[in-house]
Amino acid sequence: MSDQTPTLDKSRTQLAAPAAHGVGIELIELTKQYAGQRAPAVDKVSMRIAPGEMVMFLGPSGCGKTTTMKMINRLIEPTSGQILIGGDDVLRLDPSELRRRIGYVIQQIGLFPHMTIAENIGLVPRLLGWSKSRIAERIGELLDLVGLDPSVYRDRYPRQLSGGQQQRVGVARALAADPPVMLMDEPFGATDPITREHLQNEFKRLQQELRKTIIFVTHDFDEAVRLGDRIAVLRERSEIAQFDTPEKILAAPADDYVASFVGSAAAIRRMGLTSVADALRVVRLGPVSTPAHGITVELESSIRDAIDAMLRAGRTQVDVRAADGTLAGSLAFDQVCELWARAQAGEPDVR
Amino acid sequence: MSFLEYVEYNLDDLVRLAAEHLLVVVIALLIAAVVGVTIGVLTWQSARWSEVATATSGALLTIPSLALLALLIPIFGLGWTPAVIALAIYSLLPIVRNTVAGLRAVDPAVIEAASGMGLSRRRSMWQVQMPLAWPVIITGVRVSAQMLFAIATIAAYVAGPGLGNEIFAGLSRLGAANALNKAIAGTLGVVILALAFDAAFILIRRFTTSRGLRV
Repeated sequence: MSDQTPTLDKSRTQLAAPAAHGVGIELIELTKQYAGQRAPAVDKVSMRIAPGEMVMFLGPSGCGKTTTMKMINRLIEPTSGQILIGGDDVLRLDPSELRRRIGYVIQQIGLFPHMTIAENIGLVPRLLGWSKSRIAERIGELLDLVGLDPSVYRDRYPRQLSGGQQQRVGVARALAADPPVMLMDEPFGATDPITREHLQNEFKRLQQELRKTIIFVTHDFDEAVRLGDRIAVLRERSEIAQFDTPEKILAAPADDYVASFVGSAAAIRRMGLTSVADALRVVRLGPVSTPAHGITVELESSIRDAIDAMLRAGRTQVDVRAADGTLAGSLAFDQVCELWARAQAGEPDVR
Repeated sequence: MSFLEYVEYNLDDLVRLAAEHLLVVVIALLIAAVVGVTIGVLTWQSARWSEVATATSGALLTIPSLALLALLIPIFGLGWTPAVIALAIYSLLPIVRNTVAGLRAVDPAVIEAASGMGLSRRRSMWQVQMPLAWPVIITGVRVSAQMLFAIATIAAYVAGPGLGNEIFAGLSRLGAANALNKAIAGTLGVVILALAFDAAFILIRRFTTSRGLRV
C-alpha cells in the first residue's frame, strides 16, 4: 500500500454540521507532584492559549511536556492548579465526558485492532448518542478529509493499513466528534521521515481549515517550527524557557537552553519560514536577469529555497516566477541579507 | 459378545451416559469460565494478586480428585452437584492464568487511546480489552475442557453422571462377561467426546474472535 500524497477535496472538507472551531485554554499554576519524589514533575506552569491556536510543547524526554498535556484531559490528575477550557474548569467535569470533547492522538496511534476503520472512527460519536446515519456520514467525511478513500478503507481493519495510513485514521478518529480542542503526543514520531513530512504538511493544511485549538507535544524542533503558531520551549519540570512564535524563537532565542534546541543554521531555518512573497512586503524584486540563466524559484518558495538555488547555480541572484508562470523579477543575495537584518531588528512586517 | 456387538446392543445407554458426561463438563466449564475470567479481570493489573490467584487455582488442581470429591460430599451430598463443583475447581487454573496473560498482552497504547477517547474503565474492559484478550482466554477454556473430560470420569464415584459409570462398572467386575467391553466402551467414549469438543472449540474460537485480529 502506498502513502501517496492525498488530494484534499475542498468541497468535502466543509463539515456537514458547522465545525466547532477552537476554544481558549488556560493553565494556571498547574502542578504535578508524584508521591515519593522530591521535585514536582510539573511545577506551577501557567499559560494562555488562544482559540484556534496550535501550540507546540517542545522539550527533551522527561521534561514534563507529556505530563503537562495529559493533565489537560485528566489522564493524569493535577496535584494543584487550574485548567480552563473555554472558561470551564476542567477539574469539575466528569473525566470520561471531558475526554469525549477533546481529540487525543498518540504516537503509538492505538487504533483498536478488532474494530474496522469505520468502527474506530465512529466510537466516540456512538458514545455521544449520534444517530447511525449521522455517524456513517461523518466517517465518510473524515476519511475524505484525511485523504483515505472511504469506499476502500471504511471496512478494513487497522492491521491492513500502513503506519502512515493508520496515523491518518488516528487523526480522523480524534476529530470524529468535532472536538474544539485536540491534544497530540508526538503523533508523527513513529513514522519514517518522508511519511512524517507528508503527514505534517497535510495536517498543517487541515488545521488552517479546522482552526482547532491544539496542543502538540514534540521533541523535534523542525516539526515545532513547521507546524506551530507558537512554540513553548520547556525545560525540566515543564518550566517555560520561551513561549513565542517560531520566527521569534529562531531569530532571538531567550537563552542558551533555547539556542541549543534551535541548533546550528538558525538563520537558514528562519529563512525557511519566510516565502519570497512574504519578503516582497519589505524588499522589491530587481529586474529579471539578462541574459536569462534559468535559475528560478516560485513566489511561494521559501527564502531558504532561494538561497539554495543561488548556491547551486553559483550566483547571487535568482529569478522569481509568479503563479501564472511569468517571471516577476529577481531576488539578490544582498536583499536576503537586508531581509534578515530587518527580521532581527524585529520589524513587524517581516514574518 | 464382541466389542462392536456390545456397543450396538448398548448404544442407547452409552449415548445417554455420553450426553451426561458432556453436560456435566459443559456446566462446570461455564461456571469456571465466569468465575475464572472474573478473577482474572479483577487481578490482572496487580502482580501480587494475580500471582495469588494463579497460585491458589494451581494448588486446587493438585488436590487428588477422589479426595476433593470426598471433601465435597458432606457439604453437597451425592450426585451432580459435587461433580460439577469439583470439575469447576479443576478448570480454574488455565482460565485464570490465560485471562491474566491475555489482558496483560493488550497493547498499553490501545488502553491509553481508549481512556483518552473517553471510554470509562468498564467500557474499555468490555469493548476493547476483553475482545483483544479473548483468543488467549478461550484457549485457556479449551485446555480446561480437555482436562475435564478425563477427570469427569471420577464423578461416578459420587454417584454422579457420565461415562465413568460405564468404566468403573467394567473395572470392578473384570473377568465377568462384557466387563472389558464396558471399560473400553467408556474410555473410548471419553476420548471421542474430548476430541470432538476440541474440534468444536476451534470453530468457537474462530467465530468469537474479531476478523481484525486474524488479518
